[in-house]
Amino acid sequence: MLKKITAWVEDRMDLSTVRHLMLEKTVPKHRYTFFHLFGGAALFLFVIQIVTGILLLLYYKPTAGEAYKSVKFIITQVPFGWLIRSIHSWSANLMILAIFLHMFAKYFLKAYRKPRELTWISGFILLVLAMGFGFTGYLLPWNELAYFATRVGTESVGATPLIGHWLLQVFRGGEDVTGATLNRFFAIHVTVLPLVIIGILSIHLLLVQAQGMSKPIDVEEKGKIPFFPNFMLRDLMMWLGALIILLGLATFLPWELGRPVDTFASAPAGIKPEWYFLSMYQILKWMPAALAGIPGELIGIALINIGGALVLLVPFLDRKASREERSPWFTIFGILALVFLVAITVYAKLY
Amino acid sequence: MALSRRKFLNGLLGIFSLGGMAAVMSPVIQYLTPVKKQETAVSSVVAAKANELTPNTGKLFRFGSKPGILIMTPDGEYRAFSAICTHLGCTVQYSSEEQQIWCACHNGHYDLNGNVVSGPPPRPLEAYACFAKGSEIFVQRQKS
Amino acid sequence: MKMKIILTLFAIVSFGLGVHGEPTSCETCHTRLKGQLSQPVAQWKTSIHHQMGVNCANCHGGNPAVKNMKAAHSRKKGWIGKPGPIQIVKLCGTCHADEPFMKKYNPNARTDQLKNYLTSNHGINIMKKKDGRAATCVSCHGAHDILKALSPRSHVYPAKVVDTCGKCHGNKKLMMEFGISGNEVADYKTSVHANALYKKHDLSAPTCNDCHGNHGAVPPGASSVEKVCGTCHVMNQKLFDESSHKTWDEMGFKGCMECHGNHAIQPPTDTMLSTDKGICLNCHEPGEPAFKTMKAMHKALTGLKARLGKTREMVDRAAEKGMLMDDAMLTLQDAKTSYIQSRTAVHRFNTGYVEHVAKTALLDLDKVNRMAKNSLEEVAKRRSLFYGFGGLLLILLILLGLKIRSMEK
Repeated sequence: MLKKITAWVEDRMDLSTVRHLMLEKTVPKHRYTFFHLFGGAALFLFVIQIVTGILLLLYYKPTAGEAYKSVKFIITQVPFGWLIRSIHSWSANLMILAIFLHMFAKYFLKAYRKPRELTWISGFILLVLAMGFGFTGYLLPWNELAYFATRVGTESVGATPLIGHWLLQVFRGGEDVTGATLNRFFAIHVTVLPLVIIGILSIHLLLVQAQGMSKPIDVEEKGKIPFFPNFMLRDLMMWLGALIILLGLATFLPWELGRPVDTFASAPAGIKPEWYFLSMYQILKWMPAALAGIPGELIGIALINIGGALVLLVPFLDRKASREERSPWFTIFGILALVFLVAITVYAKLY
Repeated sequence: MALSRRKFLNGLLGIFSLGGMAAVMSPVIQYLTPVKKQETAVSSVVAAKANELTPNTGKLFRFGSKPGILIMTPDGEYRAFSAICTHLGCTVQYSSEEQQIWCACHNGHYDLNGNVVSGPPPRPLEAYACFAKGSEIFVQRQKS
Repeated sequence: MKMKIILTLFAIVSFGLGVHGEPTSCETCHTRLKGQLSQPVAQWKTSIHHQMGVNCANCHGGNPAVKNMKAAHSRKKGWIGKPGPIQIVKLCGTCHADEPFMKKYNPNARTDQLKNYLTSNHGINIMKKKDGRAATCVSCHGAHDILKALSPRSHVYPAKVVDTCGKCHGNKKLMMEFGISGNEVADYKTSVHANALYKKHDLSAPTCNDCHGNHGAVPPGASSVEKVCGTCHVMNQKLFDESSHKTWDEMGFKGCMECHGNHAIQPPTDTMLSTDKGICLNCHEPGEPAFKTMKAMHKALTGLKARLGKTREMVDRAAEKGMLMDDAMLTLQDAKTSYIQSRTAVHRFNTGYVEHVAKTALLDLDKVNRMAKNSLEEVAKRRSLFYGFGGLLLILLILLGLKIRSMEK
């Protein structure tokens, strides 16, 4: 039966590339093979986000008056609504965590080197987009914490030279965070970002398939694992593990709904963004009011952008790796960056 | 021997895969089934329908997890307050005869501006802003 | 009478002198003096009198226009030096009992203070018995640093008035001579009212003068104390008047005071109705019907309180586990209202009535209890569901691992 269908399709379309992918694709086997699994995990969590996101859309109402109530309705009245909503929130966080792990794993394996520069760049864009998802999605339940976090978060956009104020207004849909902001964030979260991310993700995956997985410099290869089914099964194991963790988190630590937005209330103490924004938040917080006449906020934003640009351009900066030579300086730099990020995030979380 | 073991493993895998899929799908299917109780029942900022109150009456509504009181003054004006008595935290009510807000616990009286007229309450009731929009009366916290 | 006319004339004549900005000679010289002699000027400058243009000579007499010390302090010009107690009362009354005069400053000004004062024990002691130890106007309001009663710095501001009275009434030795214990102020400071005033900063909490009056200070007679409490605790008084104890007045009992005390009023506890320490036992013997009523009311209240605590704990537990308990909390608020009502209800001393009020609370608590129980069951259900599904997926995970191993062997 299956054969017949394949034959029918083959008659009309060349399936050789697919067959090649399925049967002949291999993954290099070495002691770091495990680190190739995080990308797959991020992909799996992204699929979960799409599915649960669509499910939430069935009941969610993106207006200032209804948003909070509709989320409350989902988690109290809809069967398993609590699970879907909690998974959506938790999976978002795990996805970003998986992307970070994926990025650092690939960084230390120097997988960005020629010919995979584009894979690295598209991957970096995917990280930024994922954070965009997090930022816009955080506001959607329209609860107090999200409201104030968004107010603070969008504030820094206003520091952009020349067009700052205009940009702020475009983001907020007005001078302040209001129902208009909610509408804009909702539109970005469910239409703009998904469209863009699927485009970039396709390129990223296409590149991975076309180029295969990179082999680290100077690492002894112990042979090759067929991608299908052997490596696929490993991916599947990773995904199942992630699913179990997600279900456990959603059951035992259900994502809080918080209190509804009360625009006249004063900001509750200790407003902090989600953990993946904490490092940026802390850098902005440490900036002086002004330095040599330039607003401190602007300097902070400039620093963050320079940091991002450095990460983006790593494949071009690391000349040695592209010549298949060891580049210990980049490893050291990576370790420093990792330690710095973890330390600053923990610090911002605690103080 | 090895073959039968492999077969057994494959069989188990098949069964548990089906089970796993069922475990994932069943909540989704239940989620998709429409709920009888519709969401309109859960409303908190809409204190009342426009034609619900007549002059010199009042009603309680929920303001988050706390009660609020919406009154229509004898002049037909809407006013809203926290319904929590400032004395010991009882829920107040509207007394049409006295044209006052009244707390039954210790007979505290508030006037139609929420100020204490008599009885033990130490402070006026917290006033909320209310406005009519369409056929509904909305209540929200006032700008301090 | 003659004195009064002279003082009034003074007030009017010298008043004109005070209004124009020039400092009087009193002010100029006394500022330069040291210690006690300059203090009055400094104090007066912060006072309402200074603000309204009332100067030294308006009360003390003399000639504020001349620089010469002798001429300024001329007895002929009406200089009186430091006025005595009776003089003080009359001096203040010159203006403060003069309605047309006071209305110039404040259209709502009261002018009955002197009249009331003369009826008070303070007034009688000073004016009739010529006993200078009793309080005059300045004992409470201050002599030179007089402020409006509502000014937070004034000696008679609610938060300060207790200590102001306490200056004399906290002095046991002095009070003994008047047949007063002198413990009243200390007692008051342990009371629920003092707690409301000092800890909760509730300025409407009763202080000395809210029960005893201010200018017409008299100890409340047995007939009036219940009415005094009733001005705030209306419901309690109403229920009490409907109860079998309404005849207490005629029997010579002192209403609320008999159970709650007077100055050291404590927050009422359930122990006040307990069979071993109940306050009713002061008059009633065990075995009387009243004893049964007390026991029943105690049971109703403590039972309700325990239920309330247990239910609240259940709601909190469910909320802690991530369940939304808004509806339950709303109903719990209703139950709390009924609970407080049933505590008030004891003042009718009728078991049926208390139980009737308590029943509303019990019904609400049943409802909340059900909601909390459902929520907790839901939590348990979710967890067991997770163990089931998670276990299933975990087995699948292990099987996959085995599969990979068997494939790659």
